[in-house]
Amino acid sequence: MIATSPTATSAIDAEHGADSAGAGLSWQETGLMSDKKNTRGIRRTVTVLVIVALLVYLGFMWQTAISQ
Amino acid sequence: MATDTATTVHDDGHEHAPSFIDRWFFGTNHKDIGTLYLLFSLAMFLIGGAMAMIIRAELFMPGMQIVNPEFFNQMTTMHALVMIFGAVMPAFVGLANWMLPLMIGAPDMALPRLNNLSFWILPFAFLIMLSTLFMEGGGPAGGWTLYPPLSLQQGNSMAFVIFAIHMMGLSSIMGAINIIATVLNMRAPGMDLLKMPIFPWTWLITAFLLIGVMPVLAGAITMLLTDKFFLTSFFNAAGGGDPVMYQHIFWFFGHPEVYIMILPAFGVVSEIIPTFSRKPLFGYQAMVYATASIAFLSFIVWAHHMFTVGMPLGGELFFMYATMLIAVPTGVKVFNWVSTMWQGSLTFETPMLFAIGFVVMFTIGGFSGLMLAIVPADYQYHDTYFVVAHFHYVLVTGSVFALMAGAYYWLPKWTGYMYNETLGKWHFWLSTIFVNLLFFPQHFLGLAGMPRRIPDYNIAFSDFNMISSIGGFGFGLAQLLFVYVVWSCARGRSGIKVGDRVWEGARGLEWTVPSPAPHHTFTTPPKFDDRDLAHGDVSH
Repeated sequence: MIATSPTATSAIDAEHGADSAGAGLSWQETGLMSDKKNTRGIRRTVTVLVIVALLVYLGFMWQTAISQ
Repeated sequence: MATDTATTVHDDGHEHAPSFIDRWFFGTNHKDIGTLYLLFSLAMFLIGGAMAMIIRAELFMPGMQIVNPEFFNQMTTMHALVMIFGAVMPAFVGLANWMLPLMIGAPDMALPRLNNLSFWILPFAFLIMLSTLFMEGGGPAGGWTLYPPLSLQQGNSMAFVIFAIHMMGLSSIMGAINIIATVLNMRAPGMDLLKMPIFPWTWLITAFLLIGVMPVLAGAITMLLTDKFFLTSFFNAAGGGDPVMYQHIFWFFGHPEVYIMILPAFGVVSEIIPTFSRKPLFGYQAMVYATASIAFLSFIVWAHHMFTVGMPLGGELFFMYATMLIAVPTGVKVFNWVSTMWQGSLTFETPMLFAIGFVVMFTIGGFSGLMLAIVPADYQYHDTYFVVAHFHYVLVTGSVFALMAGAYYWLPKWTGYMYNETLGKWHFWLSTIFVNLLFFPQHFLGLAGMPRRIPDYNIAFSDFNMISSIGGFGFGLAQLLFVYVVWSCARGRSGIKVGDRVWEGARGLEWTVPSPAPHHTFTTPPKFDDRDLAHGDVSH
């Protein structure tokens, strides 16, 4: 998996001082974007978008067919 | 040249280096996939460009010189399909892959495996499509719009073309889903949507456009396929179908498609101009709302492509006024770019030159678009070289110039080396001179009545065609300079290493990571300062 080394966060620390509330914590530990919440959000987004794409595809063909 | 010398330690963070095959064929890293997209689009740009050279060589003089008319028609069709679906769209997806996670502070795209699949569909799609040129009856020759009944009269290679376009559409939809899922779910803590840089904003809106219209194209060509091979009559007038219906459906896809190719360009330019003006972007929120307005309006203007098919007058007026309305948000953008530069501390490195070239020449394309929107005038301009001039100003000096600007802007971040600035400037000036020589005379040809998509023409059009072809050859050759600059930069030939913040005036999270960007970035959430956003602190 991802092996960390000097991350971007440390680069930001170097630039802005070490007053970085989220620095050093993992994405899950910040609580702002827990792995679970993140996965659920992505899953929901993808589900909705796939349904929309399918509806547009089938809807346009259906509409064309019945308008003939 | 404005570089600084931040000295953050660079470490790829690999415990073991993946093999070449693992990295480039099965890899899911957003930067690698971004690189693949960009290289693929460069290859397609050269192939599509070679087709354009054949077209311009044939049109150099009146009469038939080099190719037969059937092959000429295949070249015009393939040139468009390759450039739209193979060069411009994948190039912007490549920029999105590379830069979106870096700009919003995400460790990768939301769906990395899907990302890999989205890319690897493309080379196969284009192999299938280009292979039709060698099939019996040749490739598609009825124009990239594939209008029936002409497209239904093509040989069996049509099935391959439709399959290839389905694959490209699938790739685009998957890419769009990935981008929306990433932007909505993986922004760094504290990065509200209205603090997000403009480039991710324009891509978010573009991705929604893709989801909205690519399935429409898929539906249209599926019906075309069944008309051709399964005896249906959706669009076949002989069986009671309606060819004009196809045009409506196609352009319901086709017009937003134009904005799919230009909105990310707006995003790139909106990143570059503040950097080299050393000022925050003027009117950040207006830019966001203008982008959304353009996207919305793009859905209700499609029939301006088909004023001459015989629509009711009320319909023509609606589409004329709706089209003109697009000039308002577009004007807002141009005003904001100029206002960003106003009283800025400007420098003119290659990305800025391409960005300014974009603003000026895209505006020329926008104005000729307004002329085409006027119904009675369009009856004169329709299907002439004026249309060709218009959309090439929008797509070449618009989209392609923005891509060049973006490539020069981010190349040092990707490679860790500064490109050759002198050659970059040569590339810009040669491109600008030749591209205008290529496309500006086409306005006059169109106004004089030269139809598009013809291999031979009246002798009265000779001079402007000759000038246009010379411009075409020059523009094509100038792009080889770009290929050399990219290659030499990637090889570190300049020897000038760059720091994290490559450009003095650059703002945003992507400039806080080392150059070249490590293989994995933002494995922990970044903390950012609102004042460091490219568009300034928008919290007050």
